[in-house]
Amino acid sequence: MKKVSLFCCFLLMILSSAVAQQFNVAGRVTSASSGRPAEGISVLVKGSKKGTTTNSSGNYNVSVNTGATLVFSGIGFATQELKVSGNTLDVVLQVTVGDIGEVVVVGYGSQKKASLTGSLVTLNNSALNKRQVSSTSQALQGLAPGVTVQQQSGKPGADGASIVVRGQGSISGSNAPLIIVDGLAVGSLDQIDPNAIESITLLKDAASTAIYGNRASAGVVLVKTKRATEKGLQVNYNAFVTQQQATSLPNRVSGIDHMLLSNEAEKNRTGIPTSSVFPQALIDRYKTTAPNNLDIIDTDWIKELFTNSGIMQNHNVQVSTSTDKVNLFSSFSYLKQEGLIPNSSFEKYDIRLNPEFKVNDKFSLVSVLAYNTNRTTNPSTGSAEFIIRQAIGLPAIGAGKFGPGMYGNAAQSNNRNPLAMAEAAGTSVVNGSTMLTRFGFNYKPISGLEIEAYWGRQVSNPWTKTFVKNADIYQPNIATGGYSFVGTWPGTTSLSESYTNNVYKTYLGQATYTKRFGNHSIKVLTGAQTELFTNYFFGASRTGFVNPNQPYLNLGSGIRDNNAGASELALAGFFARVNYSLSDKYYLELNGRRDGTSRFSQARNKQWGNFGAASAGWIFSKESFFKSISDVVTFGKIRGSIGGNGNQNIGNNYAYDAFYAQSNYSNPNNGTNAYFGNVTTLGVALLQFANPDLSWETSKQWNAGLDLTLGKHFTVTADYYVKTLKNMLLQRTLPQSAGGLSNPFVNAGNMENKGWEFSVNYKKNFGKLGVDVTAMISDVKNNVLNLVPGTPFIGDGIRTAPGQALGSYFGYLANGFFTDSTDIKNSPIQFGIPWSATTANGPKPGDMKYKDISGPDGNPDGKIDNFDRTFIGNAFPRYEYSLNVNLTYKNFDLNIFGQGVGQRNNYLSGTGAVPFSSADFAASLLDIHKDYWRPDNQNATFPRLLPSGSGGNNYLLSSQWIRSAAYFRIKNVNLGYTLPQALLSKVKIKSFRVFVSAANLLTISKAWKGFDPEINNANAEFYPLMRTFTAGVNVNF
Amino acid sequence: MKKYLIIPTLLAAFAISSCNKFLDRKPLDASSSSTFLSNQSEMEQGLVGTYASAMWVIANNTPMHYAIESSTDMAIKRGGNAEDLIAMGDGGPFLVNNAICISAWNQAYKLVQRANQQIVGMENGKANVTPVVYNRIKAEAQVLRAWGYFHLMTWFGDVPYYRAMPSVEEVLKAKRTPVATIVADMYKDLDEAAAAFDAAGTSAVQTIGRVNKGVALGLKAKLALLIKDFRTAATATKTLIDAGQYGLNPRFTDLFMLNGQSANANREIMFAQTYPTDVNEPQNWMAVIGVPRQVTNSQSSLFPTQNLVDQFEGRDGLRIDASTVYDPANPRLNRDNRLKWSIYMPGDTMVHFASKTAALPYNNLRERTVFNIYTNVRRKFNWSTGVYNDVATNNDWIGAQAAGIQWQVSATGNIGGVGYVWNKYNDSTQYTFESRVGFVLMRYADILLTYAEAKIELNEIDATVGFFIKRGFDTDSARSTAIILLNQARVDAVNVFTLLDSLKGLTDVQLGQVVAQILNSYREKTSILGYHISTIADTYESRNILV
Repeated sequence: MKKVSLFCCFLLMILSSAVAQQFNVAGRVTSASSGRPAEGISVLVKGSKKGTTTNSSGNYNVSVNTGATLVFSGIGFATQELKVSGNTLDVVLQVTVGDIGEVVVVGYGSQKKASLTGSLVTLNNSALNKRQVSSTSQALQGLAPGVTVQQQSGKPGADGASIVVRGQGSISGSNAPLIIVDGLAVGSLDQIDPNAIESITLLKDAASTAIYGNRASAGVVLVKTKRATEKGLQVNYNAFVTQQQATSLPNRVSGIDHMLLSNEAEKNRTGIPTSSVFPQALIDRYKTTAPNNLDIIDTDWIKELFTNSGIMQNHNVQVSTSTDKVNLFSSFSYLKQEGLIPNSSFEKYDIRLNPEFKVNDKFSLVSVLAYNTNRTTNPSTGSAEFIIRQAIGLPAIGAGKFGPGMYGNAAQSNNRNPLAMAEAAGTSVVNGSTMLTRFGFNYKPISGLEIEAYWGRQVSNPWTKTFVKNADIYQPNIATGGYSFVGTWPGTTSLSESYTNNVYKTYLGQATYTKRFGNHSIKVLTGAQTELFTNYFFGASRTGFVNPNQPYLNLGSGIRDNNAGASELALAGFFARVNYSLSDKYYLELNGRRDGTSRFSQARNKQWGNFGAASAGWIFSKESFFKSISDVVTFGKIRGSIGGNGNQNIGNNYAYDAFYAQSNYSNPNNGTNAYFGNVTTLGVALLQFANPDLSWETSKQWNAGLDLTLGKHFTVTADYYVKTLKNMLLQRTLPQSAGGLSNPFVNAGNMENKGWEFSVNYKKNFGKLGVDVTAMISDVKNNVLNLVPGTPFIGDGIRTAPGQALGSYFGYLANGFFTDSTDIKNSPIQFGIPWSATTANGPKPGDMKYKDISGPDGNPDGKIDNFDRTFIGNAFPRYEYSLNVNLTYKNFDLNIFGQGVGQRNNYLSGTGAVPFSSADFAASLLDIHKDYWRPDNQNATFPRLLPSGSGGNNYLLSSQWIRSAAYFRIKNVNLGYTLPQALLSKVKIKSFRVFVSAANLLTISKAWKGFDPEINNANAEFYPLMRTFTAGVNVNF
Repeated sequence: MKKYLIIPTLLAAFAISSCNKFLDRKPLDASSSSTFLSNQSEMEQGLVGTYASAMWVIANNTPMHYAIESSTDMAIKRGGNAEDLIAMGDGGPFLVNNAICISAWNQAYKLVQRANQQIVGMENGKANVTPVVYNRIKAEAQVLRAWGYFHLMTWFGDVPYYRAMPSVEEVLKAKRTPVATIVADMYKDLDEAAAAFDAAGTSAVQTIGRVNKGVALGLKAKLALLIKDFRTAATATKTLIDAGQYGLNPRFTDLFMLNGQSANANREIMFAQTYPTDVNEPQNWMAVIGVPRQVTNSQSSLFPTQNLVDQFEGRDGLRIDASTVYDPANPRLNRDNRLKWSIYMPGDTMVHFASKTAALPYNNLRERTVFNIYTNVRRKFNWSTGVYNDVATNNDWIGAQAAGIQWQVSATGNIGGVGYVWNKYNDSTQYTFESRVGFVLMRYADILLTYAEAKIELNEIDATVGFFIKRGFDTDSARSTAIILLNQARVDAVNVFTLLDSLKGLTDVQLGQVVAQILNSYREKTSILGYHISTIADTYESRNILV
């Protein structure tokens, strides 16, 4: 088969060269604004009807007579006439209105922006590299309306943001968009070095995504890496150094405050004015004696823990060249990111080679070779987030560290100390490496036909090594003034390693044919692709390591264990797209895919499905009746699309099947062993209920859009869409007569996202001042339509129920605090405990009061109980907006980027909301908690102080703890200065730019002090987001 | 132009032809329901998994059958509410939300579905296993499935009926199937299983805990009784009896002790829920539930009722209201010995394996106590001195309530001990709190009774009944005597037919004397050999045994 096609290729090459007898001019048309190829530019021989149009690479080929003049024209570009003087003629066209003439990447191809009928956003490298980020996904925040990008952590190596396109796409399956890099599906955008990215295209509506079939319902992100375009040797060096610091951390109370407030809490609990936890004499001694880390301990846990430098540096060298035969782009990057706490760092090397060999005008070989290796270090005995939560929550009177390797018990009975966890109890290191390779050809046998085929492979090998060491815990010996050894923590040493081999392979073949007949223009794409993901891992562990510096498995003398696993996922699809345009005014696009996945049952015929979309556009500004106002509306287009696609990413590769497994007896429902003759015999049984009828989740979406260019400087894009998700996978609770197996997934849930998007750009030069401002705002409202029959809702406090947004908060309505006993007597009875002066656990003044909104029969019943809960918000951002200001003046450039969310809720709990919270450790309280209820502080935020575990009903999920997480943030400020050319020409440097930038400089929000509004559901267990200050250079040799 | 489209077309054609195969991915590191059970060892593993779901327990370590039987008027449970006082099972009335009902339903269906999966799943590998082996493995699963349905129908009547793992839709649409329909299918399954066991030469009792032809026939008879199909019950049990592979254990007590169960004399135990001695879990906590509070301050919670105690006849073989030897003032004396082997009454000597490790090397791990509820002392045997000492405070003392020492306090008031505790399944060779004594699920004695019951119900006066009628007994007393004889057969290690043969030719008077003599003689003999006799003689115990 392959031989045949190669033979055909050769044959065709010979044929086509034999035909070439006339004087030919070939060349490449690019856009002056983006430097990228301009497709569909009409190339006419002046004075004749002979001509052609440029292809997706901006190339054209036309035969002329000597002395001819070529006329280059296209929508959005100033028409240019050039006299032919040789065999090649490259043209750079000036942009007239917006960037609608630009060619953008779409699924399996590219398209002129003016002819787009779907909804998508393309971000060029210039937009992305304004921000100095450690993970590529962070850079997308606020740049594309309708694409919600949320960063939840600043942890090195794990600070990527989630990308959600047009609302939540699934309840139990994946919500992440499909990410395609140079035609290869990758797991995360963050594995791609942002320096090497030429553009990122975010496909939003079904018309854009349907060609990706059953993987497209959550949107598609297309990444194109850089390729050499310019002649000669181009060398770029980009580097920056960043100082990171936490955007916000809560303030803790001092040791004295901890003791005083503990006593007050105890008094509140007992109702006896003399009760206390800490004797007054001790408190007095604290007041008069400076902390000595012996008998007066006042540990500032945050200060003690946040000792790492937080420095990040990034170096990138790019070398490229373009010749007649070879285009070669290469890039090398190094990133080192130190976190804020010990043993928290990330380091990464990226090497990329993107070569292209032009065998002749018709045939070229295109390949990609990218290697990435990285190393993420974290403490091993607990997540960095948990260590930080302890530092936020632990009492100041707990001993931290007495000297090198001497840790205190942190006032915890189990001796667990976050400083010991971070510094001394070992590390968990992930050494990752990824090799992405692609090799293929482009063949253009005749004008208008382009055949492309490639083979791609990505291998990634994360190797995790987790070594748990013992830290020595001491306690002060006040008698001697020294410290006594208490013991080691955690007490058991262990090493566990796991090695994973993930391989992804794809084959693609496609053909595109473009033809223009008079006013009619048609473009047809067909192709087929197969993809195979395989995963294999094995791991081993041992305990009992004597030497803390030798983390090698063979040295462990204790328990040995090992494990392995493997799985596969195969995908295959046939896709096609037809674009038709009439008079460059009316556009119609049909696309579709027949898609198959191994995730579903072959026996039940559930593997294959058809997906498709139709879209149309009308450039009404070209109509004659519009001429009168064509100065005002220089370009106007309306678009509409409708289509459907699917989501096969349901987490489990074999969800349709059930498996036999062995299970030791631990309760009546799970054993698989029998005891014939009182001897254990291992058996196996199915432990899940299989549903072979399982299929993908589907999505239907329609979109209406408007693109306008007003005058010469304003461009506006607006979209409205409704996206309906159907057949979402949900667990169906079955009667026990089904065998008591774990409940199967069924295709049942429906959900809807309705949203709109609006963006406006203003671009104008005022003399030497260049102004480019983009403002955008978007909204999406999620609404669950129905769940599995028999399941009225999923989850409890964070609840998914029909008529509400996915995962809405469900709790009580706070109604202030009880002011006094009369108030309690006159209020509804809370949780069955009526007012009584003598009942210890009854409500007291200063306790939370809730609203009686319902009862068993749906009416208020004078009782506060489960029936009084209601939906009180959700964590999904609404009204996301951003403002992106770019100014240039002489050699200076300035970018100010602000981003915000108009409406969002955040649930605060645990160590974050509860003074003396007892979850996982005995905690102190935070500065913000000092605003607690007292008779003289009735309008407090927090109820009366109570000790750990005595908070009664005060901290139930209620509107009191649902806070606004709306915010506006100056995400980025970047000020650059490009050195004058005159200065550089002597040292053979083409350009030299220095810049300083800062991220997350300013935040306006109503979040509690110390809690970042962007982080969800804060219980004080987080790795803070970073405020950064950066200095860097961009040098072009 | 056309020729250029040939390439992608050919490529696509090539791709399509190979795509279905390309997409057919089976799990790599897991045994898929669609491919597993493809050879004998996989089938055996699956079968073991099916057996595992025949271990029915409640509260993790109490046999389900025991819990259900105890929910009848045989037993009373100590508990926290009034409903428990009327012996209605764990956690309240025997209704749909009762933990015992839920657990019984769930575990029986787990067995049914695992058996279904086994029977259907085995077809994946039918070609790889010899028919004899295949049918034997299938037969075991069939018997287990029938076992599940038998209990479901006994407890719940008409139930949803599956012969293969259902689909989601089938489960959701399931309706009750009449008992008769299910029984008819089970008959066929069990006959098929019996034939398969025969073909495979499966022994009368495979390793204890496995099913075989005997269990298949016994279960068939039980199913038959359920629908009052006495003809089938009689035929099945007669076939079983005639095969002569089973007999009665000469020692009643051996049936409820681990060592006795392992030896399984005469294979009286046909099927049992067995516990492992090589791993810690699971254990049988019946002894824990039974051991009285005066031993190790334990937590007895299920007690035999007076009603049950009164079922045991006098030594003369007559009901206590007709017996001449029964003494209401000393009810534990002159009773059928099975009473004391099953239930401790005040005055009985109890032996419990109460400590796992000895404080001193020479300490005896067993506690010997005289069951006492009438005074606030424990009569505890001192192994060193060989005498009983009265030790202060008795947690079972009925006066405790009056004295305000309330060990059984509930929201509804005091619940006194009933004065009876279980001895059955109290294996003094097993540490009380970690006992591995098996729970007997089918006994040959039960088969004999089933046969007798069926024949009597059929009004077929054959050997057993007819024998006595021939000798001038009227029909009722002939039946009564026959039942007594059959009932005693379990004690006497005598095949009832052999016994009858030996009695041929005697006059009625002689016969009556001989029957009484044999029965009593065997009882004494058995009791003398019973494990209650300690090597160290003591007056209390001797008296107890010799009486």
